Amino acid sequence: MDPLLIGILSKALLGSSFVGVVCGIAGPYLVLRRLSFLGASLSHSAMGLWALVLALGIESFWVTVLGLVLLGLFMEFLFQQSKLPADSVNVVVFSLGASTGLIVAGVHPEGSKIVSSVFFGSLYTLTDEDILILAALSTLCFGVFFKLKHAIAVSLFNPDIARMRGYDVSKINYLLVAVVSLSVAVAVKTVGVLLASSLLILPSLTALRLSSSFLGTLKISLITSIFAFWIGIGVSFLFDLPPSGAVVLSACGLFLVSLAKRKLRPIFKGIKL
Amino acid sequence: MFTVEVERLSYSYREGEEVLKDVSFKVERGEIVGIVGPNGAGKSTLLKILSGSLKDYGGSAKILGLEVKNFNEWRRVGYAPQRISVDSALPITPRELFKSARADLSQVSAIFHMEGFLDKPFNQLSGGQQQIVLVALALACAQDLLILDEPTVGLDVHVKRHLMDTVRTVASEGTTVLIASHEIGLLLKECDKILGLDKEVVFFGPPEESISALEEILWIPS
Repeated sequence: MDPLLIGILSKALLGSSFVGVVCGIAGPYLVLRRLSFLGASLSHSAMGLWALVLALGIESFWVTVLGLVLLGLFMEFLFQQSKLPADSVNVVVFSLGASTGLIVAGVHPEGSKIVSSVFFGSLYTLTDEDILILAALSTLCFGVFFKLKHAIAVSLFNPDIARMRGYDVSKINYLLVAVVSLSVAVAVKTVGVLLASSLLILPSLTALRLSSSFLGTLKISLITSIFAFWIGIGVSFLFDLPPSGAVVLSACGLFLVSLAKRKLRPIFKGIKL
Repeated sequence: MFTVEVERLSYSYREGEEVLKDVSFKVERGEIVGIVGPNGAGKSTLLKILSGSLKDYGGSAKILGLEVKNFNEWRRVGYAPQRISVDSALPITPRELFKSARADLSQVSAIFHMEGFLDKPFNQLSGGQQQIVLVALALACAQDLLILDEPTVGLDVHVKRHLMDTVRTVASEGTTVLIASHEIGLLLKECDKILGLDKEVVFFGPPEESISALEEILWIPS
């Protein structure tokens, strides 16, 4: 195999593994908080913000990151303080982000190119800098979720019991949504809107089908997420398919397999997760 | 110092519709107080205020001398709410719940014979088993105050017996216990004091003196 291709493939597998860790560990929190659509609304807002920032010539990715984290915190504020339904807030933010992206695509000379790159990502063009950013981010995200796993579990069970056991549920949710927003921003830059929003949810659903414990769900979600990336990239590479679509379809495939849970049980018997 | 001091407490979910009106009582360390009253009497609301879930109350509610609004020693209080709605998708086991809540499982697990379902998801347990988990968690957490809202719903006679024996034991060790229940016979037999509530205090005192006052708001089995 061409050494250049091996280099591209290695970077794609390494970078996607880091994104896989982020999506796998953060996803169950969003799904179980009934905020599955938050990933989609944040990633579409990232598209709008990033397109806007590029169109304005600021060309600083970190401005987009900051904007998205602030947007995530504002949404969490609305979830906690307003009586507005969370799914409605998500739809408003989703529409706003997507509309901004479409307007930029329409008026900027290179708008379509910008929006296309943000929408589908660029798994095969990851730079060393991208890999480093992804490594740092996945470490941060994994660290925060791992450290707070007990707080997350008990606050999802019952916020009052969590509060009485010494957890500040409100602050924890703000922190987790900020980390999710940060993760989505970087995931969108590297793997695109389509992947970022799908991969936050699909592995979590697969894990919820297969696990009967909270920690087991986190572990299976993380493993499934990384596997979906690897399978998708492998298939895309072999059959010359768009990587984003192949990875999402792989994640869908794993979810469909998990639906046959009873038939799979003998295979998983004895594996403690 | 009293463990619980409630002075002219009032609460309304909607303006002009008071659920609690001018409620006052004091509970000493190690006392067991049974809270009785008809549906909608404000029993759960009172316990929600004392567990810090409702903060916009009128009057005063103190735990260990501190106003509930400013109280920050919640880890010394065990609370089992009346109903708990846990997301059916949440795959948390009782063992994980206790670990996450930093509560010691070993003692209560033996008392309530929980070994058989400790590693099953909470949402797949029977109603009675779920109730046992909630009550056991509150018991494991309670150091100074134990608040139980309808703890016997769905429990069989044996488990009720274990529960009341355990409540007696923790009270004898200095933990104050507040129990709201519709099982008046059980409360009259097991509690040191009865608080009769019908939005306002109807009676507060020893069980043997409570019958005539409670008969005005409840049907008391002979």
